[in-house]
Amino acid sequence: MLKIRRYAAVGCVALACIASGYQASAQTYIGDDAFDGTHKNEITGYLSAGSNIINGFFMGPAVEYKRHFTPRWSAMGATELQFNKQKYAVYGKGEYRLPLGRFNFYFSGKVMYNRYQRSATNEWTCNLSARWEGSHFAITVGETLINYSLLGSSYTEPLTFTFGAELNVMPRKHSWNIGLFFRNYDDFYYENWNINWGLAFKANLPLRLQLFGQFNIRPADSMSQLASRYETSGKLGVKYVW
Amino acid sequence: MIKIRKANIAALCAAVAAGMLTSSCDKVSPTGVLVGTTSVDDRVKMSLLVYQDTYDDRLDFNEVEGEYSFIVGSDSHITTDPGRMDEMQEIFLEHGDLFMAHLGDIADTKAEYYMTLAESIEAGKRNYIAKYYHVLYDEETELYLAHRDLDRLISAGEISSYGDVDSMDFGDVITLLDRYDMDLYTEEDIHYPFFPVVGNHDITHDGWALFSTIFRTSTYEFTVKVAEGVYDQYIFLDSANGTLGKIQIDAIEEGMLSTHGINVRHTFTFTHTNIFRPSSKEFASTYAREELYYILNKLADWNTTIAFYGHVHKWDDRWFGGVRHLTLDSMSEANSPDAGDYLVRVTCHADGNLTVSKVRMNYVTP
Repeated sequence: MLKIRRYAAVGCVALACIASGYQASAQTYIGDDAFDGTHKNEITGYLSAGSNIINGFFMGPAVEYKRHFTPRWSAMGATELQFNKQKYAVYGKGEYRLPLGRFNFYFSGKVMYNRYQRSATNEWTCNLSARWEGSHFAITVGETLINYSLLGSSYTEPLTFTFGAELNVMPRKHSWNIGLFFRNYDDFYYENWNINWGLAFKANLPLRLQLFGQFNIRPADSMSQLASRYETSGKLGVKYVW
Repeated sequence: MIKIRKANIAALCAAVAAGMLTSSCDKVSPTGVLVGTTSVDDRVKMSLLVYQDTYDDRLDFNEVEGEYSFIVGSDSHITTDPGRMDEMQEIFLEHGDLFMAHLGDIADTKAEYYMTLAESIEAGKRNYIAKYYHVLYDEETELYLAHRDLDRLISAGEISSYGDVDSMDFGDVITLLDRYDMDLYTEEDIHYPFFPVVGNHDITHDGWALFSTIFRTSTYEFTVKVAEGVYDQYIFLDSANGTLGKIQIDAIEEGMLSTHGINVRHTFTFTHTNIFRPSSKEFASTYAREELYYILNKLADWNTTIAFYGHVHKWDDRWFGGVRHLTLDSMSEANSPDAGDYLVRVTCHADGNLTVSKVRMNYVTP
């Protein structure tokens, strides 16, 4: 068990989010999140598939749409359907970008609903995050509030610390990139101290398209005993901007 | 020059990806490999073999009339001083509980710590035998008669005191026991009623080898017969890796831990990893979300009366889905240095009602 005192970091994130609004783009994408000055719309579709110990093999599509209102403000909506998991998810997210020297800082807010049909569970998630994005790296910290209801009972978990890091071999604006990530969340779930890690890539295609993918391993439990795998999955998708 | 560097980096990434792909088959991270943990699937394979071998012994582990009680402790993290573990066993003996359950992290994965634990358990078993069994000598062999059997013989008028069997010819004792369908036991035959599950601190650095040497299994169940055809069921699950794992879940789905057609009054479950975090400051690992929901549903399917957890070292008592969930404090001195209420006693009354009370531990290293 670990006890982490993080009031200072949480306070800074909360204040920043309250002051400035909303967040960054999907975790499937390791390109440049900043508005490029010409394209205000982004639509992303991907297929994910994998296996975990509860559902066995699973697969399903996800679609995300992002709108840049200004070079600093954007909003996003996304939905996912996992056939074998019998899981449906939808979320809305807002983001504010603060450029500072060679870096971008993103402050985001996200509200997500998950329906786990197999376990007859409804889950609501609210997340506030701050993301520090450099040319080859990004670090995300935040707080997540999760409520779930099943069996006629409802429970709101204590705030969950959200963290993520990615490291890419090429500069963010390069035409292709590949990198490693490490975090306790993904597009459609937030976990406690259960991390997931893996490899992501992207490559620009003609016609304003980008190909991206991700290989993701979710060990069970925390960093100290990772010998049991909970889930392994992959994503492959395309992003189009206009 | 730049191209060469890019090629090298790409090759490095490809190697990392290949490593991730291969390691994902079992060990899922370099960290996991370095600390040498066992996977839950490996442990469950072993445990299920033991479970199947000993199932007949575990069924009707004991019969009780009227009320009985059991105590539960957690996260003892034994190192060199077994004081709190000794105290738990003394409390058990003194109160006359039917059995003890332990929720894992019993010791801290050094061989010498498990030797300390083994000595404590062996001493506890000797005290248990001294309290509940009468020793008989067949030439050089120590054999034991259960006091409950001797009490039956006294009630039947066959003997007037335990000591009467000492003066009887050994053959006559055997004849008498046969007539009442009673057994003589060796020390190995006597099952010390200490029922643990494995915790995350029990599985690193070959801890499972040490744990299983003493306790053999971490996934099992037994029943206590409380009336003719009526049982209380006790289910012990291995969640030391923060997951039940594929094999254990398959075993559950295949009905290994089902009620086997018997009439169950209460079901109690025991496992290490907690479901509910007491606060945002208690940053302990829990189950992945879908598994958490699966377990909550499964506990409800089993009509679980109380589910016990450890791991987070923080007391929590809550109802969810018709099940009472108790998360226990650590009974370890390192985590709970002062005397305090670290154990839980559940008393199952004859009418089916339960009393749950916390039990104080007073041991503090001199």
